[in-house]
Amino acid sequence: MSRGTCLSGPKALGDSWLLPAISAILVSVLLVTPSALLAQPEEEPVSRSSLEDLERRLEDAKDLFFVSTDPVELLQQFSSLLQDLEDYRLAEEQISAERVEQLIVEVLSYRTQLNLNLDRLDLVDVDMRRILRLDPDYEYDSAQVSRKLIEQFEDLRNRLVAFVEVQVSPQDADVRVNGELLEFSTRVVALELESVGGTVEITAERPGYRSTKETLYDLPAGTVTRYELEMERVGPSLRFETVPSGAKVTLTSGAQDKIERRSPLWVGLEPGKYEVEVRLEGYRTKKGPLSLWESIDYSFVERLDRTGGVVSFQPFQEGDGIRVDGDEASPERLSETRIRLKLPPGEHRFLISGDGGVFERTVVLEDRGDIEVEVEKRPGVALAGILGGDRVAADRLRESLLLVARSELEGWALLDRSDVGSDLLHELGLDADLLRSAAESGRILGSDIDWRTIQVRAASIAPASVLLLAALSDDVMASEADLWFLPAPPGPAFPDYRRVRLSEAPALANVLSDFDRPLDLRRVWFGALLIDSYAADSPVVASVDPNSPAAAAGFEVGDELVSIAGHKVARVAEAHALLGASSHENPLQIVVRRSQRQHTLSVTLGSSPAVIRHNAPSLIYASVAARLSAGGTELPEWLEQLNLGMVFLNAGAWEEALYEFRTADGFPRDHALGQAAADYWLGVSLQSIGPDYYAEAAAAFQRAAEAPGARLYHDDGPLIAPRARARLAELGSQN
Amino acid sequence: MKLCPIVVVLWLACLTALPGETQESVAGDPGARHLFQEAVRLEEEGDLDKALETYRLVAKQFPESSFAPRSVLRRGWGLFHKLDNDGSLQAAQEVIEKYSGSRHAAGGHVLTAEIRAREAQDRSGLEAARTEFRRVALLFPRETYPRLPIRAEARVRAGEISRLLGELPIAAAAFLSAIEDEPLSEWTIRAELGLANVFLAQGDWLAAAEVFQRVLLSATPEGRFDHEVKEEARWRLTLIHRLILRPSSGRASWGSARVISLKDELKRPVAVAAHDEGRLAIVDRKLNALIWLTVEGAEDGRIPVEDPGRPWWAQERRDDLTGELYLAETRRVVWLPGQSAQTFEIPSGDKQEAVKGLEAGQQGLFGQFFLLQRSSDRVLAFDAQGSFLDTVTDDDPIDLTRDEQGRLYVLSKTGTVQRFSPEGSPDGAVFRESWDNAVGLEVDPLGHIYILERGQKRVRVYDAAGGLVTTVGPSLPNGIELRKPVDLAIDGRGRLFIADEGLKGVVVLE
Repeated sequence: MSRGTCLSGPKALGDSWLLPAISAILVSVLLVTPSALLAQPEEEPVSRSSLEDLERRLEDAKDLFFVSTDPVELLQQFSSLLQDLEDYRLAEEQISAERVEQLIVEVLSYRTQLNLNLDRLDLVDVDMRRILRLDPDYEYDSAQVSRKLIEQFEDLRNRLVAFVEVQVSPQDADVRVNGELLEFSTRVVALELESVGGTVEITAERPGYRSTKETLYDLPAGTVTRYELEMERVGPSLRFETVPSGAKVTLTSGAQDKIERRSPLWVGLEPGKYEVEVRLEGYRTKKGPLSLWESIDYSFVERLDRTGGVVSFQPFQEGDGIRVDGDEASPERLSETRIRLKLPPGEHRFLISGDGGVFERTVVLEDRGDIEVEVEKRPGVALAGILGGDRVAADRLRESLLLVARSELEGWALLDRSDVGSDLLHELGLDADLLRSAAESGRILGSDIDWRTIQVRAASIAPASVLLLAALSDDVMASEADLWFLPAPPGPAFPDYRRVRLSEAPALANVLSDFDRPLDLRRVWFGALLIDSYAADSPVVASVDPNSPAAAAGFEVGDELVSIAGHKVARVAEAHALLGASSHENPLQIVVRRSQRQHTLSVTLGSSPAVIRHNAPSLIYASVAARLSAGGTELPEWLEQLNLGMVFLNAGAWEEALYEFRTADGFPRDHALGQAAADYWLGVSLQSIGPDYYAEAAAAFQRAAEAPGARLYHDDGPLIAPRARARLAELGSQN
Repeated sequence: MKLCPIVVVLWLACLTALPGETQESVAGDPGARHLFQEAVRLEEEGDLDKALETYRLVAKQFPESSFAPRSVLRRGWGLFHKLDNDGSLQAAQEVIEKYSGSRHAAGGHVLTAEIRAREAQDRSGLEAARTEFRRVALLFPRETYPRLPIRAEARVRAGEISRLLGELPIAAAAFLSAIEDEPLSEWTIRAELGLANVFLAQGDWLAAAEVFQRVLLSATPEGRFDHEVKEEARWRLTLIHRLILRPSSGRASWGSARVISLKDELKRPVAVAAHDEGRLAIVDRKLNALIWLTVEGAEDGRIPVEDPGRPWWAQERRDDLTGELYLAETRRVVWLPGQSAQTFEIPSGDKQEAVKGLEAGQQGLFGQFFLLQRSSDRVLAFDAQGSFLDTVTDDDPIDLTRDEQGRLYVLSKTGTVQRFSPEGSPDGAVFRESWDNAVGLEVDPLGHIYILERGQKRVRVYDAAGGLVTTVGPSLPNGIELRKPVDLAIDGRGRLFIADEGLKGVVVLE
């Protein structure tokens, strides 16, 4: 039932309920014809307004009600508003119907006053009937309207409206009058007889009681008809609530069909014994018997327990972070290296990141499950996105990357972070055109791409050791893509990129294979220079390093290697392959030709530390940087520093490079690779920075030049001294 | 017009793909791409004129396309190939001006530098070319353009010019920059070869051997220079082995000897020249013929000659296996691949007088001719067109040769070997010894000097410092005795060839 508002304020309305409660039913036969409605002033159709619009217009009209000197114009205004409200009600049938009806009643109430003032009594009658049809309880505000109008309205109500007082036992039964549910407190119902045809249907329902339905005919207008009903008890009723609500409750017994309802439920049942099962996702299912033998009301409240299990991770280092299903989680720390998370059952994706890389694992957790996970961090490659308009090619490339990564990336975890990556790239203004332009021009640094910012931002939202981006060659039909690899801090903000043809699957595998290439930072050490000569059938010893394995075995300059471990050798490459594949633990038998005679020499190969080259096309330095940063290489610090320095050299990050070369120390004395190599690369770094550092560079080269047996890269590597002398000469010419 | 020696090296660079192009995307305007690919196809099929026209169309019709600068540059290289220096330079400048900052502009600088090198008539010309090469590294620094293969090319070429100019430390630094400051590329191996040659020229044979060997072991994908570079490295290593390692371990530099002749026998072999690959050119004064022989002794052609002197091969001869052979005849120099001849005149009072009595010669670094005139006991210098430049020496010259840096060595009857700059000025190095009728002179890439002493029927080999390395003859391995040696030659792998009138053949020592 609607409520009057302005003209019949809440208080008036409240009072209005007292009167009808004791009044008789009024019956009127006066019909409201369509023609009467049509008698209203013609209103121009208007475009449909919003409800707020209509409310505002009503307020405007109400403001004018007491000040306007032109009642006709005001009447037209209310009529127009009424038409729009009717249109709105038709169009928005299900939305705000009650509120619209309130507004219509309010407009009608004003219009009745205006028509009364203009002495259009027939129209007043029509509008009052409409008001009563919409709200039989409506009350005009006596302070706002004329007494005449109120009297006329009450007279009409006594002729048109009947009242029914309903009393049902038990009182908590659902009672409906003409299908409309009565609120518990409402037991007197006003009915506009014309709309109900003088008939009222009353139904009463309650679990445990027999439902009843009765029809009252020819209700008299203007009076209260009393209706009393005592319902018949037929069996027990069950009120069943769960905390939380919404659980699926299933009741089964031999006596009646299975009952399935959502909690809370209240049902009438046959007396008997029932099995009840309660299910709610995320909560443990409960089952149990219920004995409902008495014809009384039973009531149960069932508290449900959440389902879940625990997942423990070890080792979990200080500084590590963990994400569960993409969100950061706060685990319970059980010990210095062990954490635990309580989680609902189901599949969960965990990502642990920190020093040493990332660890990703998907776990299916059962209720009450307790899973221990051993954390094995691997450097991670976060695929941040595939840029370019050809989304078909992009999707294909993404799938291929993920597929190939499974077979090619043994030491790495490829993490698809396109979800967060695309926002990041957008935020940073990085698009395919920029990457294409950088690749095309070769202008990778100093362009519009701020690799440092990308590096830092990526590390914060998609933690991994290396960020991977792809740029398609074309927005419409891409045939190639550039894969850009950017190491995470503290690696250099300098990307490697590789071009792959999308139609060639092996190309992608080759790139990822390069990326995954193990860092081989030890190799065998022979200690003699072998050369190929047209004047010899086999490799010739050109020099023997003092204190080397070759020297210890007795090799001499001019010796020609005939065979190694029984394998004849004709070229140095073959000799290197055999030596490289040999163990440095077992002596190797090498036959040499010397002065027309053959001698067998037994050599125990040494082991040499090794430094990567800083300009090898097959190396992806982002990968190297990540591996070195991850630690766990078991390299001596000086060797790790030299290798890191080479990564920075590759990136042109001279200052970072020279820091590594300058601070490296603790070089072993029994290797040709060591201090002089650090000095040499320090000189190169300083020279690259610029003329201000030439003097320092020269000093570094001078030190390197004064180490005659020192070598680059490894103990059998290139001699440093001649190179250092050349660099010195160059610096001299530049000064 | 004849090619300057430097140019010959460059042909290899311009005949194949442009530097850096293999990495470039082919994305772009489809029309431009199609036309560009058509031009490349025409070029690869040898229809250079049509290719050049098509490149011109690409740049004209699609000036904004990424193919436009590439087309202009390729057209420039094509014109360079056709020896159209002006057209080539115009294209290079167009790329530099229109597409400054692009990698193609760097290509424009390299092309400009190559044209300057080709046109160089003297040191300053070469220095100008080197400056242009160096400009690439200045304008396209590695800090901004970390991957620019053409910068490595420019560094290598600058190093090669420095080496030619005799500025060995500068050359070494340039090669080192290409090796260590640039990503590995097909130019790396060439830089390594250059560096090794510099070390060799500096006398650091061990450092040189190490780098030469690394060249041989180079595992980079086969590039356009690989074959020739590796071959040269192996020759050098063979020389080091033969002339340094073997003697140092008490072994003879040449362990075997044989005489090669012809079926109907050489009648009077008086001169021999050896190509690096071992192909021999022998002058037989009785047969009045120049005969080509393989090192195994098979005849590989002959041509009649008149009053022949000694033949010589141009030093830079990597473009084909035949090389450019020159032969001094009394009044002219014959260029044998084309059998064209050039005569020379010298001022005589107010007149020009034809030069005669030519006995031997060498090609200078800038295309000059250094000719030994027996009749006047002088060495005369002429420019590439045959105009007289100067008298190099009048100290009774007997033979002359030059090293890889273009320095001239002249053997005199007086028992001296005097060295001259590439321009023909004495550089102060004089090597003096009491030889018994020295008639032949050779210098190898190690700087060893070979003197053929006819009186003692032997070859004396000295290191660059004048120390005697070894003596060959008169008794040779395999029971061979020198009888009347008249000339000598050494090939790339250190095989020694001695023309011997008495044996009527050429002795091969290996």
